[in-house]
Amino acid sequence: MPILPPAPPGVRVVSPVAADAVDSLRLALLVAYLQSELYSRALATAGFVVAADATVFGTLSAQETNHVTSLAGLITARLGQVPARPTFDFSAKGALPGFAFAANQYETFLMLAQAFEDLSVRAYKGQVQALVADKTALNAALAIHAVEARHAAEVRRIRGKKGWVTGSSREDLPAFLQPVYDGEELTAQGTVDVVAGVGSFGGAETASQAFDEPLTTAQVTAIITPFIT
Amino acid sequence: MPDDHITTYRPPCAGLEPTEVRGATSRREFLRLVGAVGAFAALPGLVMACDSDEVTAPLNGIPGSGSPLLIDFARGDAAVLQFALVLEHLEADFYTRVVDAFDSSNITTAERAVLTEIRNHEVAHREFLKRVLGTEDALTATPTFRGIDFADRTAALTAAKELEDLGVAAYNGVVQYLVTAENVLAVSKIVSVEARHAATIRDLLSARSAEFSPNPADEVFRPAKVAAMMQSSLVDKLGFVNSPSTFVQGPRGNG
Repeated sequence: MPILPPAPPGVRVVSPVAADAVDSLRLALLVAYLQSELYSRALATAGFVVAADATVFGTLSAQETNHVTSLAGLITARLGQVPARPTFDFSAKGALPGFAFAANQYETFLMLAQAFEDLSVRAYKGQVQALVADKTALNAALAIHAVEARHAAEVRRIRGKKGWVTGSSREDLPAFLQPVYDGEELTAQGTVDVVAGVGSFGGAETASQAFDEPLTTAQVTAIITPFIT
Repeated sequence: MPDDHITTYRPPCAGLEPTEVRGATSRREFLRLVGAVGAFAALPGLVMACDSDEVTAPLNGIPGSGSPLLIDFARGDAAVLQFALVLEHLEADFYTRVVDAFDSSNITTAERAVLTEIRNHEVAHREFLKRVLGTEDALTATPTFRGIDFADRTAALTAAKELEDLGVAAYNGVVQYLVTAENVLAVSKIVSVEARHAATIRDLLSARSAEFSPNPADEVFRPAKVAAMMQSSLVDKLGFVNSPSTFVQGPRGNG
C-alpha cells in the first residue's frame, strides 16, 4: 500500500470525497431542521397535538432533534461548516393560507408531517451514493434513513393511509406537494421489470410500492424553499 | 368485531387419511388438507398424530440440517446481493405462510390486507434480486419457522416484527461492502420499504405508541451477526467464504 506523504505544515488537505460527504450531510441537516422545527412548534402549542397522538409526536420530535445533533456532529468532524437553522414558514409562503398551528389546523399539520417524512426518506436516499467512500457517514445516513421511513409509515397510518407510497400518489395532500412524490411510480429497477417479477402478486402497484425512489439535492431544495422565510 | 377476529378454526389433522396426506402434491395442497401450518405448533398432539419427515420436512425442517449455503465475499457486489436474497427468501416465505394461514387465523380483515401487501413487496424484492443476480448466482434457500403458530395473530406479528427489524439492520450493515454506487442505491430503495414494514407491524402490535421507532438511529449489523440470527430460520447451513475482515459500526456501535 502506498503511503501518502504528510501534508506540509499549515496546509489542510481536504479531499473531494470529504467535500461531497459534507455537502450530503448539510442537505440532510436542512431536512432534519425542517422536521424538528415542525414537531417542536406543534408540541409547543398547548393542546394542539391530540392526546391520542401525543406519544407518537413526542417520539418524532425527540428523534428529529437527535438527527440535527448527530448530523451537525458529523459535519464538524469533517471540518465542514454547520449551516444555521433557517427560519421556517409552515404556511409555505401562503400555499397553506393562515396555517399557524391553530386549533382547527391539526389535519394540515398531519399532512405536512407526512409530506416531510416521505420527503426525508427520498432526500437521504439521494445522498447515499455520495457517501460510499465515507463509511461512518454512510452508516449514519442509512441508520437515519431507515428511521425516517419508520416515521413516514407511522404518520401515514395515523392519517389512515398505507405505510408505503403507491405510484406517485400524494394521497390527499395539496397539489403543491406533488413534487414530494413525483418519480415514485417506477416499476422497473435498472434493467429489471419488477412487474414481470411479481406477476399476480399485485402487478404494477406492488412494483411501485416495494421500492422507494431518491430525490436529488436540487429537487429536495426546491421542495423545501417555500418553507423558508 | 367480526367473528373471524375471535374464532380460530383448527381443522383436525388426525382425521386425514394417511394416503390423502401422502398424496398432497405441493405445499399449498398439503396446507389445504391440514388447514394451516400453524395448527402444528398450536397442537402438539396433532403433530404426533400426523408427523412424518416426509410431510413436515419441506415446511419446518431442522435449522442447519441441510446443505451448505455458501456466500463468497470475494465475489464482491454479487455476494452482497446473494446475502440480501437469502433474507428476501426468508421474508417472502414467512409472509406467504402468514397469508396461507388466514383461513384459520385470528388476524383481522384490515390486517390481512396489510400483510398481503407486505407479502407482495417481499416477493418483489426476491424476484428483483434473482433477476439482478441471474440464474447462475440466484441462490435458493429453504426457510423453516419452527414454533411459530401462523394462525395466531400475536405470534405471527411478533415474528414479523423481528424479521423486519433484522432486515433493516442487515441491509444497513451490508451496504458498506458494495462497490458499485448503483447497487448502493438499489439496496437503499429496498431498505426503506423494509423499515416502513417494521413500523407498520409495530403499529399493529402497539398502535400509536413509541414502538414504531425504538431508536433515533436504526441498527447497522455486520453480516456475520445477521447470519447467526437468520440461521434459526434456515434449513440450509449458511456460511461465508472470504468474510470481510473489517466492519464499520453504525451510530449505535453494537453491530
